[in-house]
Amino acid sequence: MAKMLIKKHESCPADCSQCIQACAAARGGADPVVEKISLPEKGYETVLTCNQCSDSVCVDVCPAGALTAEDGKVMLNSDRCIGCGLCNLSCPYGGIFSAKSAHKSFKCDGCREYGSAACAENCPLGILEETDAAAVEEQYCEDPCSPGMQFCAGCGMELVLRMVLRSVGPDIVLFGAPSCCVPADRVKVPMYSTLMTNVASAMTGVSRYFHRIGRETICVSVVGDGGTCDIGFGALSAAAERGEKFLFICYDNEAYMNTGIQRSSRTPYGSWTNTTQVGSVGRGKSRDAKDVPMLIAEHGVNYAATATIAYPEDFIRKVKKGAEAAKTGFAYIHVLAPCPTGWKMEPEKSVEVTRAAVETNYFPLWECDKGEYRFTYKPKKVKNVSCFTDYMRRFAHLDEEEIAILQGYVDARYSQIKRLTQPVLPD
Amino acid sequence: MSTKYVILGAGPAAQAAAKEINLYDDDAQITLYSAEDSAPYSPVALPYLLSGEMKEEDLFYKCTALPAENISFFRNKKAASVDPASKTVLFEDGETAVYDRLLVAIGASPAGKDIPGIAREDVFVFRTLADYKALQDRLERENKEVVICGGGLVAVEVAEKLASAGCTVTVVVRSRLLRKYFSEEMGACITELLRKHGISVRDGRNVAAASKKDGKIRLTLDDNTALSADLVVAAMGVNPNSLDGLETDGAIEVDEYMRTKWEDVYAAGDVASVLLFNGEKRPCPISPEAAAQGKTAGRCMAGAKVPYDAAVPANYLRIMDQDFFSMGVSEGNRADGFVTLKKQEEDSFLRLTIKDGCLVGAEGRNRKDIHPGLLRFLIRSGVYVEGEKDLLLEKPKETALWLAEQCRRAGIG
Repeated sequence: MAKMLIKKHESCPADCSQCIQACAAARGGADPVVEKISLPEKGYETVLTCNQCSDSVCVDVCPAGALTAEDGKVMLNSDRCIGCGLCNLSCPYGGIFSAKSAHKSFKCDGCREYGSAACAENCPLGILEETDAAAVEEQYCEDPCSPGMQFCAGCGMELVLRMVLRSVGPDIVLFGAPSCCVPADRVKVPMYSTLMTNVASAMTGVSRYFHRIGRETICVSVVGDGGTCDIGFGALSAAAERGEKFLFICYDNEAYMNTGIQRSSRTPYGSWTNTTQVGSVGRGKSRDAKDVPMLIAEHGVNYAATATIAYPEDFIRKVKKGAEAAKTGFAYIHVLAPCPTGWKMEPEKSVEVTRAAVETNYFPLWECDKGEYRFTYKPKKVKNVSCFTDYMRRFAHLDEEEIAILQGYVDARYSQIKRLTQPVLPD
Repeated sequence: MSTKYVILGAGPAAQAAAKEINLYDDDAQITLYSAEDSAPYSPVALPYLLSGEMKEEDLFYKCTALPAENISFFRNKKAASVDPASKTVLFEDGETAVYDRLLVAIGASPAGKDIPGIAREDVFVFRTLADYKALQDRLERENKEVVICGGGLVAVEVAEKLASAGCTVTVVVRSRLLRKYFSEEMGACITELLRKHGISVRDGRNVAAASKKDGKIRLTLDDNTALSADLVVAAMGVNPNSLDGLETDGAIEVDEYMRTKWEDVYAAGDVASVLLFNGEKRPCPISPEAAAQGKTAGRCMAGAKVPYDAAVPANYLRIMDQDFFSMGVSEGNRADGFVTLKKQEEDSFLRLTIKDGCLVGAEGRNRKDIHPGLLRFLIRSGVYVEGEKDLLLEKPKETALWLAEQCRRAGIG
């Protein structure tokens, strides 16, 4: 299974070199292929290693064929290396090293022999992390959308839509409601657009008909938080209770974005929207968000999960699992999908902000498989919620006290899920 | 219907293009035509054959990875002309090939092979595998007194490798060694190193006259000194190859997608005149840039539109176990706005050239600790380094990585 090493944009402790020691040990005492980079003048402390690029310049320029791309890794065959230095001269990331005593290059091979990346295993802060990339790599096939998608720059929902379509495959009917996500003329699969109130009811009808005629086509929705958690909640709750056989995916951007950023039940405490103004009276939304994924899970459904775009391997796995679960019952995935316009943030930080949401426990990643709760990802070091809110101007007005209140909500929600993930002890 | 891609040439640009077309177009029919009588290879590796650091059969290893189903290859097929109107290539053997899209990657040929007074068979060049074989064959049979005319990278690399292989080598160079690639200071350092290695370097000299007597060549330089040689290697630069039907003034001009002015005709590698990082437009005859251009051409021929980054000339050289690299501008005058920073240590050297606050050149000796690719990224992306230049000189690796990461986070490069 292809593994992928990820390095987060975070500062390493100046005195930590555990990844380097682990790397040297895993390489049997040879020079490590992780390098400590310390620039105290700029407060810059990090580590450097190969990115294992899929479109690797080093492989292109190697005249000897010593560098090859195999199974998601860039491999260097030292016997073939003639030491011409072109790889090191061409890699724009500094991922290749020159051997000090020999005329050879050397680089990270993703700990092929060792099994799993020793550097990531030994990183105490989770700055280096290894994830399963196979699911992500499989996504690089046909584009499920035609050119001309009309979304804003940095839209998280578009990524959600593409990942869902690619993971589920072409045997699908897509359901949507009036929202930003009206891609009916752009997706290459059938799409059924209904009203916001009755997405789940329409899906019930179509999926029941498919089952009756023995057709395996899956019904999947991509609906916003308004259509899911407020306006369509009644129909959704009823379908979940009846155990209808489809996969309901909610892309949650925490407000009614398409109609001009109005508050929804998923808007978090303190967030500015056009209907929770910040001024002499208002301080953003005064109540906490409704925990809809938990509510749906507690309907006793086949499968319920949370996911987000910064963890694609986790997201894709859940979509596939959800699609499988939908063959026998109700499946629900709640995806945090940023709206840079409504969240008032830089569009290029879309993925980053959802990572911060997970790392602060603002949006924990969990799944509930037939009543069994478990976390699918746990941050090694949980950060303060302000690491998430700092990205967005919708939270810019919050003072320390208000941040503390939001932190309280976050902690309470997290410990509630944590309780559910723990085995029940007999009295 | 599948698209017919014809690629003239089989060097790094052609190989990269073929690989890329295959990746982007599932139904592609790709044909490579090489003028040479060998499988595709990378000429960068040829000097390593001279010194025995690489075996001849390993030269072709890389191209065994090219998928055979969609890519066919013909050797000994030198194109004579192209008719862009009928989209036809005419080969020298009279055969023709019709293309939907054509890539001209026919490279360049050595200049100045004619030295008056010496027969053609005594003057060798070093560009292709055939050139290497001819030279090697001669060296195995005869005495090994070699005179190399020229002072570029080929001249220096061949001189070093031949000297390592036991030849007596003299280099005759019009100005100084590596004038286009390294600063005067570094050029002098390399010259000294070659001399220490037993190579005689006659800089500032031209060959005035030559003759052959009793199997020995006698060269007279313009200072009236004489040299004797068994053979002469002419390494006086290269000229882009040309094709009838694609008339140009020297190299073939291309845009950022490697398109020429003729419809469906692309060019890449040493034959193409591309945009450099400093705004110049000329060929950048080095292998990594050829591969990058080939890649861009391949993509664009298959319908994707990904422009080519500006070229940054860069070279790596190893002489007597010492490492040298250079990139961008090798030397600039203060009067023209160039600022030079130098850091000399006992056995190493680093030099940065800055203009208008941006890094435009770098060269180093025995600085294996640096990742030169990071500096090249800074040059290529035109990163403003003015405030950090002293730090960049003091801690090049750390500062370059920090600057590069800042740029990438801001969406540059």
